[in-house]
Amino acid sequence: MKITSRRSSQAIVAGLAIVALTLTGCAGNGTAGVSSIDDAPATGVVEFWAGGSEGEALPEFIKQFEAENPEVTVNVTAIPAGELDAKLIAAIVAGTVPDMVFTYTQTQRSIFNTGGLAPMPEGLLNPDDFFEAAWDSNTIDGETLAVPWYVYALVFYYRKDLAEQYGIAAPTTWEGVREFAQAFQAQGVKKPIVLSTSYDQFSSEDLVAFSAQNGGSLLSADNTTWTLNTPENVAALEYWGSLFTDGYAATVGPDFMGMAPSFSAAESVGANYGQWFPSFLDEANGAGWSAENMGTVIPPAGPAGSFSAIGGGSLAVLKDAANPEAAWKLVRWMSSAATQSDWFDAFGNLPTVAEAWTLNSTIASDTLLDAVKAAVATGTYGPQVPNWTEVSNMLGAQMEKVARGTATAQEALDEAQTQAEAIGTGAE
Amino acid sequence: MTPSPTIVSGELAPTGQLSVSVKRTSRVGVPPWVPWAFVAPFLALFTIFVAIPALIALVASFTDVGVKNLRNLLSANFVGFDTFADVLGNTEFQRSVANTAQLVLLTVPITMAIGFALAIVLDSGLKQRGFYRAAFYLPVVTNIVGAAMIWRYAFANSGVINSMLENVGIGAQDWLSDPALAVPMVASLGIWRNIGIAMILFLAGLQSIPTELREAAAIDGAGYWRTMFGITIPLMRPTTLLVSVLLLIFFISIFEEPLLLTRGGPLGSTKSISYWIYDQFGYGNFSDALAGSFVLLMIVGVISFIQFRVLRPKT
Repeated sequence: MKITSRRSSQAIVAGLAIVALTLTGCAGNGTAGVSSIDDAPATGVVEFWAGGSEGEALPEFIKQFEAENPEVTVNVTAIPAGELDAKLIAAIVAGTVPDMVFTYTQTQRSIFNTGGLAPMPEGLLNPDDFFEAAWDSNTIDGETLAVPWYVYALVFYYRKDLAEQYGIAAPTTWEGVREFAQAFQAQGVKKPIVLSTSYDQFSSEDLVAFSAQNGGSLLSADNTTWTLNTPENVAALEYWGSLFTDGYAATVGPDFMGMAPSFSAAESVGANYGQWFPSFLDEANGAGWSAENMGTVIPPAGPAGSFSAIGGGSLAVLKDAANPEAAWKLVRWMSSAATQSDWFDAFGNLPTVAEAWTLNSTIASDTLLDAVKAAVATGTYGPQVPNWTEVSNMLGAQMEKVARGTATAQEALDEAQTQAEAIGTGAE
Repeated sequence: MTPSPTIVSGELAPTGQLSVSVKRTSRVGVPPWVPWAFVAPFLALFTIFVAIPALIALVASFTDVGVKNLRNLLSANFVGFDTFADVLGNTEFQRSVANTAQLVLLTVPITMAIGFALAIVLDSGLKQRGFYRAAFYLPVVTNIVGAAMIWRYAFANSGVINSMLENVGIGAQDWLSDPALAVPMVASLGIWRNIGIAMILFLAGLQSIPTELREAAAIDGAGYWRTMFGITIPLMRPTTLLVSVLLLIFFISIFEEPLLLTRGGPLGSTKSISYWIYDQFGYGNFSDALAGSFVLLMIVGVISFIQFRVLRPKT
């Protein structure tokens, strides 16, 4: 956008900002955080905002930290996952921020972009202890703005029991998915495959993986230019769309909460999904159901190989935090291999610290996690730029046209590319 | 109630014009600040919670304020009408305008027609008038979130409506995800929710028509329809104007219905202007969202102005 008459605008905006800040009662004055954290026990009160069901499980879990640090009180505020970013943005404007927050990998770049997060103090944690892709997704220009807390990888889950009964092999390639679906259709399963049909950022996550499997990428390697309509991506989207138009997947498929009922009833039998799936199925059908009936393989490979879409959550401390020392100490505690192993037992989120994977006996032995473990190592995060949230929702809407057969993959991605260029990456 | 002006002096000026000086009379013992004191609480709340934020929003819509400016609002740049040009040139915004226009054209006439018909029925001396009036008004006061969720379940692919249709031999319909059905579905929820308002206002309008006029028409030999078109409908002009403006403002800024029922889909066919604005706030494009809001305000203003011109009382 053009910059015109910056000085006069500053006068106007300054006047209004004073009114706004007076009304909100506070002005963020940004102490740049703390430079180093000692080993003394944490003290004071830590306000911690956490989204989703993690926010509900954390208070109980963090009692251990409070027991180890008797002088500290951690107040966890659970916030619905969809509202976390908006609430955090409002808090940053008003200067009424919590001390620390749990952000989602997919959307955290726009939070990074607010400049409201404090860089991690030197030497608090050793990056080499973490999975590289996870650590790198939280680092901008050498500053670590958040510490990766858990990872997930979408891998191919299927009804192993039925596949064995009908003599159908788990798919290992794109073509194998078609054969798998055809074989199940012959057994009366109308729409064997589930793809993300929310046609928003989650559908785009499908394309992130399919594009990588076809040797493509949605963003240039230097994170400056959208490359949505490259031949590799068009072919990847054509393949994705053909699973709908050839009748293997429903254009209105099960949503996030509908997956477990759909797989339990064998209305669908194969999908790329996250490692929380077995626990959802066990909850619906009884403990041990997943171990008996479900199988996993790494995502069926495209021409360039098998790559999984990975995501997760990170822990960040705010610049305007009232008690950054204690917040960083909590981050350090939550990032130890032992704590991450305990958290997996308590909640099922996979650790980002490599050592925790061998430390935890379940992770080390659960065969349903084998594919996830393999996929995390080669996984690909979505584009790490602030406007990915907006672009991924727009892209999901374009993907709907391909799924419903109202546009070709080329047309949809050409349109998506035009819109993405208008939106920009947000990093410039 | 207004104090009448009293002419205290008048003289003929040399130019031949009568110059009159007028002094307002005020009630004995009521100082002029008293009325202001009565409106002060409202003015204070209005200024703080409406006027100032609206002014800030207006100024901000001429900047490029976004997520990156949050911690320092002064870092936003003044860009003149660029943001408005961006918004008006945005194909998704244009699409949302077209979607909204389609919804308005579908909903406003139907809501008014049904509301008017119900008002006529209730005005005709129905026995359980109070009951029906309450029943038809109920959707207005029902929480839209609850209502929309019930619609979602009822019209889901394996919902009640489809089960009933299958039982009578009509196949199940893809109510909420077939582009041809989703728009009417969103419209229906909006209509269902607003019939009560139209009905109550029309009923009040009908009851304000003097019975003598209808009696006179009857004596002159006018039948039911002649009275309807010759007396009732012309005298309902002010009510019709009010109802149409209220409904227009509601439907042009329709938001909850598509958000809760269809999430703006399928294929973006139910994404309204307000929904587009909501998305922009979510993406942190605050200036775009604000500019879009003012465009919406202008659309409402222009159309309401036209309605007032067309439907103003003929004297």
